[in-house]
Amino acid sequence: MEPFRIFIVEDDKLYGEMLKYHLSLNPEYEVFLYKNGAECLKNIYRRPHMVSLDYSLPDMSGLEVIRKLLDHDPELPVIVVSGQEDVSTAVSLLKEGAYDYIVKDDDTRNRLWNTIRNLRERMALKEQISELRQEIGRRYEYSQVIKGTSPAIKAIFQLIGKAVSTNITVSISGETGTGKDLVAKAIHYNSSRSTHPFVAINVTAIPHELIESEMFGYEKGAFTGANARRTGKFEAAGKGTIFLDEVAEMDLNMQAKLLRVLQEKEFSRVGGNESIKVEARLIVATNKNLAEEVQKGNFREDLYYRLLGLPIELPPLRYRGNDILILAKHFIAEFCKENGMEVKSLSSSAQEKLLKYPFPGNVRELKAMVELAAVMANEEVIGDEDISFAGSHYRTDFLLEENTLEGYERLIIGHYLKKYNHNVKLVAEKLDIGKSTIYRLLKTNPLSEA
Amino acid sequence: MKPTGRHHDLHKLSLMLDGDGGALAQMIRVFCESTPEIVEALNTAFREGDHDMLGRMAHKLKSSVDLFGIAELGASVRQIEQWSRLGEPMAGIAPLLSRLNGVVAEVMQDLQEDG
Repeated sequence: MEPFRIFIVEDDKLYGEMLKYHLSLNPEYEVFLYKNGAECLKNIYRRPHMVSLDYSLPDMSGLEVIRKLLDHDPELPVIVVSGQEDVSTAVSLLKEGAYDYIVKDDDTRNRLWNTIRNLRERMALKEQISELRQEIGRRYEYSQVIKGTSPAIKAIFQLIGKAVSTNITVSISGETGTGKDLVAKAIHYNSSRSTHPFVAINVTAIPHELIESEMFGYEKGAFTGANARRTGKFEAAGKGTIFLDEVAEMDLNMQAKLLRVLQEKEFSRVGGNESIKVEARLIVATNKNLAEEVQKGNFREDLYYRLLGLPIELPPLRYRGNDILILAKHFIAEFCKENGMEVKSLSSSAQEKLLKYPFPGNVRELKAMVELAAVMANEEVIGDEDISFAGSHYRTDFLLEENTLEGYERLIIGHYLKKYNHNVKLVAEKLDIGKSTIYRLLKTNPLSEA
Repeated sequence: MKPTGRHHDLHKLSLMLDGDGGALAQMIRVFCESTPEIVEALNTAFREGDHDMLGRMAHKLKSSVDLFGIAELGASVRQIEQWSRLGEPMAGIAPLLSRLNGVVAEVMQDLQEDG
């Protein structure tokens, strides 16, 4: 491991030696002692991790040294050690960017020791955080998150790319389970805002009467039970991204408030007067057709236009063709790895079965389905019998079957015959066809049931 | 611990160094090297009536005096520092300085004899 390099800048030789001796007791520290500012700055190429700086140096003021050190490395922690107990000096040094201020006395070495220990903990945490951020970034690289090669999904990639490079409001629509939240995260973590927070608010998850304080925070005493000031999600997001999920469910009263905030670009906490600027980017999502909601009078038209921004409409899984298999294989591999199982494959009959299913629950449903199949399969290969569709949903989408026109006729007539207890007369009436047509089809080939 | 007739007391310093004899010897060496320079600068500043330098040198000597347990000088070195900063007349500082010169010389001699 690289040693933790400490510079001690101290014109009192004895005192400097004391500190050096003391800090060198930790084998992880490499301590350098300099007697003035110039000597310290000359050795900056050694890249110290921390500098302990005596404030009164013979050649230049402590302030000057701090400025030069921070010019070189703005992140460098400089701990000022001074003989003067002067609060105003301490404050001005801290303002200038010093990490800490320690007064010279018998306890200095211990305090310095503790300060360095805390500093190292903080640096380790910081490093961890930045690693985690990178990890999150990698995880949300959109080709990693959103799998698929279908033209429908490629068009989505293009739109995400446009959303990433600008600050435009994005409105994501799509059926349940199409991955609206993933798209929102992909936009955030690939944009210049990625180092700021991503804050999600699910409008349906919060009772109507609480949503305003949840979004904008409140001041102490704003209402019964408001015992302390609380910051809201808009404030928490800072320069990051706010993701408003299920935005169509917002009541009209709250819609008016949101509209105002978006127009003014600022808001106040509930019960407060202070205006706080909105700096976050807004992404909204809904599984409803907002334009329809506007027509029905459930959604404000002016807010609709504010929120529309760049619309991204996620395609249902059933229109994504082969993506179903790409996703299925991806989920199976992921699931097996997580559960310490050998990765299973899909038999061709299982693949066919998946391709024929309409997936009303979209990707979310597919994921649950293939995970269950991976558990149920007794062998390395998942067969079609391992795949079970959630009962009531199982309605084969006709068009996915790819049939001849006559084939479709058979399917339809078979379905009706079954439904009406094989009453040919009734079926003929329902379908508005002649009974003979039904008999002809029955004669040439027994009807399959849909 | 303090031998009779000695102005300094290494007990505290030794404790601070966790009883490390080598480190103590090193500190004594540094003290013997750096203290005469500071005392000389102190006297020069006094002769030249340079309050600023006088204060700074006294400030510098303060921690050495404390570390080496020279209790007798603890108060006077602080007094010199404070008076210099306040710009008090040099005449008032003279007796303090002459006492300081005497004690430091004796400490240096004792330390060198011990070494």
